[in-house]
Amino acid sequence: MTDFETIPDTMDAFLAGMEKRAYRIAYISLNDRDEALDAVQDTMMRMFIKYSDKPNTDWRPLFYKILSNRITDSHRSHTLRKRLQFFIKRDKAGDGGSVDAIDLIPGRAGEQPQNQMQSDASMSVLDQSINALPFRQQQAFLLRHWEGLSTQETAIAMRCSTGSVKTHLSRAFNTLKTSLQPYYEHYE
Amino acid sequence: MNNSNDPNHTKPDWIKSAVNELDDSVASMDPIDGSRLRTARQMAYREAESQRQEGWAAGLGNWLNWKSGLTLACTIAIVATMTLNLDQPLENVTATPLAKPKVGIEMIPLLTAKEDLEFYESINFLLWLENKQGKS
Repeated sequence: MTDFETIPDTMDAFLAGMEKRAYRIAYISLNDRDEALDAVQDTMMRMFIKYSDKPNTDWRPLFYKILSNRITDSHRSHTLRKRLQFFIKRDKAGDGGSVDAIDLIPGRAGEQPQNQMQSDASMSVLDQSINALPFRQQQAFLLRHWEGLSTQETAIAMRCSTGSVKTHLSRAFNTLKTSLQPYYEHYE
Repeated sequence: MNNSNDPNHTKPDWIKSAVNELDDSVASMDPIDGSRLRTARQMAYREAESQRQEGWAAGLGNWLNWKSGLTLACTIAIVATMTLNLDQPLENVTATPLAKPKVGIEMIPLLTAKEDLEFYESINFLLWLENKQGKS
């Protein structure tokens, strides 16, 4: 359970208490520090603009709802960029290997083998295990077990029914159990 | 039996360990990351404030654009009404508003007509001549 039992009165204080945990969630999902930071910053900006007037009891599920949407957007743009790069590479092969300027734009750290190795090394077994889950299962696990949101609040944050939350959570639980239970038993 | 859908239920040890590790990773976060997050929050606040002010100004602008037309029309109507009413003595307005118009009704077509004034004078002369011949 988290130490967020008492919710601050001001949005700034609320976000100050949330930012590190939000960054952690975004980083686990995106595996990129800059993208995680952008996601958290965008989320905070939206919270300041749209939800400062809402009751502070609603802030947590709303915060995670925005963060989840923002992470989903990052995943989508990442997928689109990968597809674009695939087509550019194919065209380049057809052109006889001419270099296009867009090829020089670096992708996400996880896409390049040398960065992938660094990234994996810096990620803990826990991070890797959660990162390997489908995004919805990641959300369900982190919001319920780590953030301590109720099923209802998690459903709001994930924009789905409580039944879907339970399904995602159950699947995440079963997958993580196979990878994490032996790991923690070995090290304890 | 573990109930994975109820975090309040006694968690298995591996979940407790995972949660503790996540908590520790936040507590021992790289100070640079912490600093970047603080800066990001401050930037978010400033950006939100500027957007809010821009939104407020744009809203006011729209409101003024919409209202200003209506206000101008109302002002013109009020001024026109007051000007017309001021031309007439108050007792005339209340007692017999149409009793003594300063400009005779019969003169209005004459004043507003595009035809030359001499044309009407010639008609008047012809009418006078006809009357005189009729009498004689």
